[in-house]
Amino acid sequence: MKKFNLFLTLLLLCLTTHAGAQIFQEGFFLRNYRQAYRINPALTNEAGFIGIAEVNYNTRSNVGASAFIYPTENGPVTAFHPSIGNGQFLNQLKDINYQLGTINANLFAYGFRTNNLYHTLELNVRGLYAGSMPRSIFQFIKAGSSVPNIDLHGMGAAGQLYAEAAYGIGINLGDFVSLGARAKLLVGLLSVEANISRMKLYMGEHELAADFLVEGDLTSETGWRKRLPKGVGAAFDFGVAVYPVEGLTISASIVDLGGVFWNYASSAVSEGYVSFTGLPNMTYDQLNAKGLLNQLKTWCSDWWKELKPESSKRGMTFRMIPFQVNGGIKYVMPFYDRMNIGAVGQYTTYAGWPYWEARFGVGVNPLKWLDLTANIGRGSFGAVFGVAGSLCFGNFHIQAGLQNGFGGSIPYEGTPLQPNSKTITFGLTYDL
Amino acid sequence: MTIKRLVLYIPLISLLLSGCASHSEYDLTNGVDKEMTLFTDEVVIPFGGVGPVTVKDLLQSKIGDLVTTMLKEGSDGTFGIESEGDMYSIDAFEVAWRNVEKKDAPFVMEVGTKTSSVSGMGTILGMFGLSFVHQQLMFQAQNPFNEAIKINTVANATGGGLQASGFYNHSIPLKDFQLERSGNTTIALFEIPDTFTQAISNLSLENLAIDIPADPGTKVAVTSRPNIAFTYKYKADLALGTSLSIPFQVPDIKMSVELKQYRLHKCQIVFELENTIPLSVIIDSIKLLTPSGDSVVEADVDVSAGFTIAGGSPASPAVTPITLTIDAKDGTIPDLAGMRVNITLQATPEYGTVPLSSKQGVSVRNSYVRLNGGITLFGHEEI
Repeated sequence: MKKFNLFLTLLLLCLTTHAGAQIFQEGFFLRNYRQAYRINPALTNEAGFIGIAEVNYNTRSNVGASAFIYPTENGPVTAFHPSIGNGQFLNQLKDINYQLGTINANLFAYGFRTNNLYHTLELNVRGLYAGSMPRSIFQFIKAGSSVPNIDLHGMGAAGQLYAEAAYGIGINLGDFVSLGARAKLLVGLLSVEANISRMKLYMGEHELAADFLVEGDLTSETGWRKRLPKGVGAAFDFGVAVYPVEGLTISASIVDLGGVFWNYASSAVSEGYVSFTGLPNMTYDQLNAKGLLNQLKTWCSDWWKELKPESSKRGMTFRMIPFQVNGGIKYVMPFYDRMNIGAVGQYTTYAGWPYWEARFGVGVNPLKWLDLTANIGRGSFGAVFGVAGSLCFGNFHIQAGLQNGFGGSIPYEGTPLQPNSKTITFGLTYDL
Repeated sequence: MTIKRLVLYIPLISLLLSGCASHSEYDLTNGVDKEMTLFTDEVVIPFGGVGPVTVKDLLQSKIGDLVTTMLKEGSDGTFGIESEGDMYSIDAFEVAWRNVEKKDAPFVMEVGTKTSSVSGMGTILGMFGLSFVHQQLMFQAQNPFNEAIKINTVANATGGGLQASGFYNHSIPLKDFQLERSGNTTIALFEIPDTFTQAISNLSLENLAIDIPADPGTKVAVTSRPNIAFTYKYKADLALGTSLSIPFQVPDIKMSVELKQYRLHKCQIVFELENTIPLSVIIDSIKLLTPSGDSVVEADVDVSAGFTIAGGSPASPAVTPITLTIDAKDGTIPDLAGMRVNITLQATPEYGTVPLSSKQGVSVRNSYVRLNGGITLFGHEEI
């Protein structure tokens, strides 16, 4: 493949490099999954276990690659190719087009039972990153400035990396109901945010103007402070599970309710109004390339004085982490107790971008060492499906799963063609 | 089929569906056509204003030193011409030597008629349709003797004859006019009325007679130039006449702009031209030139023309809104090598004969460029 140009690279980067909180829902249907307490802290195990590693990676985007790449008889072209109509491209975009994602790396997990209490301990490293671009930017680039007022707000990028130490407890209140809760201490490692909170562009016949507010925050420190945590916070999970009849489980939970107080040592704000009404001071002598360049330099210098970010001390700022509400119902077949059917649903939101899913699933444990599940449903972006499996080797359990949306992807590259949420999970546990 | 098998197949089928959902038409391994057309509806780029571009700027750029050497700029910025020259001159000692026999008695030296022509510049500028106002012609005489002397002559100035302002012929009889001792004396001053707008061309001192004192050799004042001299000084302000009308083709404006690659279809350049020069400019035609081998040819592109830039004055500038449309019709605007412009310069009679000032000029205001149909980048390139 020939070298990518910067513009297209950025577009594809938008599609591929962001991720969101999404739990391994398939675990609800797997009999041998030991970390269902992550879905609902009230869902406990009979015996103890050690979690050696689990990685959960989720990407979510409300715009697919098919909005930017179009197949033609002569091969694929970009959305900015002259053969692609404005409506054909722009109608596929949302007002705010976002990409976000999370990666949760479980370094250690330990669960054990004491009477009717089930305790869990975890140490995780979690990361979140997000980016957004408003449709108006693409509209301006594609169609131009036939409308003089262009609102470009909504462009931004954020990233957070933090460590999490969690303690959870689940309690069975008889055979009918169990409750659970987890408390998480969050230690901030890095946070960076850049947002265009206000960017109104006016492209009139006699004036080019921008009214803007751009903010950037970074938890960077120097000297010995570099070794200190950049933030501290807490989050909580709460859950309840009800067993009204033999084989039926009804689960409800809210997880990751909390956030981090970040210490933004480096913050900058750029706010102002800049206007270009031409080069009124240009004289006849300057009507040449050098003169024009000098005038533009002067103009750019004036602009930069307005645009130049001014450092500010934002200090401690609370940022929520994406919380998630989960619900599920599962029924173990009375005629075949190695099979269960049910449904799960989730709702999560981050930065004002909500996402929901509802899935019908089936789980089967046909062999002692094999546990499989599949589901199909609908989410914010359309039809979704999920598959997962667990293999047992003695006391070891390896589980892997995939949640994805229909709509296909770019061959050999994997970028979803449609708005999509995709989660990949891989984990290993050991039964005590 | 047993339930066991059925439930086993469900995840496998799902995995297969997932794997097959890849679309070969989106295969990027052979590259992506990089061509992009941006701003397909239109884009407007404000450019603001330029200027003013003054008459002085224009003259200096076109005729260079002429401005500083031949055209004189007054303190108020008014352009004018000045010239001076000798009508007649003779050394006082030569007079004494020539008339040695009569040196003991005064005598009259009959010089006859002396003529001269004012610098031809006025005539040349007049041919371009320029007029002259505030014209002043001055005859001066130098008396080298240390006593007053008399002269008799008729100072005469003529000019014109070809244009509407007619023929100027005026004389000032100078009978027994006395020159003060040893110095310059203005012997005749012609304040030519502004109704006559052509340059004065011919001068004469008719039947010049000078009273020479007795023993002139001893009367010569101590001076480095003991001449009996008659000179003239002429000055006039330039003005734009009321009957000016000059069609001409501006020399091809050369430029090299490689526009073809951007596949532009239509471009509008919109601006207001503020003019304080009392001169209308009719843009008869504008042709874009495109390279063709080693030469240039007119491009197959429509450029709007046929508009008039109104003339104005410093007191009441004329503002003309202008929209210049470059339309490539069904094609695209090619690479440009230059521009060919035919214009007609025409006086604006409503302002009368207005002096030409270096401070007059034109300014571009509120200009912007509107592009329709998009700008194409990276044509026929692949990523």
